[in-house]
Amino acid sequence: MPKCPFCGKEIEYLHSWYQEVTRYIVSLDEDGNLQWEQDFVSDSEALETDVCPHCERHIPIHDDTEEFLKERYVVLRPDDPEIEARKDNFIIFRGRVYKIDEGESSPDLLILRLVEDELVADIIKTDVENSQMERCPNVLSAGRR
Amino acid sequence: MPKCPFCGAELNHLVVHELVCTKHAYKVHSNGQWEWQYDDEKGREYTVFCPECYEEIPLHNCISDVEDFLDEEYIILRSDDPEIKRKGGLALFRGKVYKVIDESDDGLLYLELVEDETVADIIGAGLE
Repeated sequence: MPKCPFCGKEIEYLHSWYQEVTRYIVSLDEDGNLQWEQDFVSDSEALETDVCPHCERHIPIHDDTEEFLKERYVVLRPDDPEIEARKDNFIIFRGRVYKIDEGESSPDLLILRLVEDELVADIIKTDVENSQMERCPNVLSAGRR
Repeated sequence: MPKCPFCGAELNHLVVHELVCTKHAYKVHSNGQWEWQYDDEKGREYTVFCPECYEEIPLHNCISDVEDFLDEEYIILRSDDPEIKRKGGLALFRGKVYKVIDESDDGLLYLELVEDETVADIIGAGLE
């Protein structure tokens, strides 16, 4: 399940706010009663989409919302504790390999796209883990035990 | 018939915009199917306009004041409206006595009809 980059809570669904305007002609009838006549109804217009249901903050999803909810597209803080390893443009997050979208990422938020090809992902994962082990040999071996 | 405080038009009706905000939830299930769910949480805002000049008529309590405004029991006028005779917190407008309940910085008077006829007659005589 994806997580909100702001509050860190697991997200099962996303909220969106829509607005609609109805125009009425309001008058008094002969008996002095108020009459509401519906004159026009606008189309529904999105006010804010991709809102975390827990903290109500907008999550900057530049891709398909469905991809985000399926964790193929991830938005994370760079210091997220679930980031297992990082090398160059690749990150291992929850056991899966993601590539950092540098065009959309910012210093505060990483935008990650899942590496779908399993063989490529395995090669990158091994490479990232090996380089992590060279730098800090105890971390991964402790995790594997 | 009430008049618009901006264009002075006589109004036999008002235009009211109702803005409804609805929260939707976008869900993707584990089998890949997705759906929109409509939440009951709705926010409504009303805005009242003059049908002639389309200026917003700044009623204090939008919906409850609409009927009183059309009934001329609660009216909004410019403080320099030539049809007003004013004395302190009271005003005479088209032969009826009103109490000034608010006066905005932009020169609008919010007036409420004095319903008691005897009181209105006494006050009205003093304002004539």
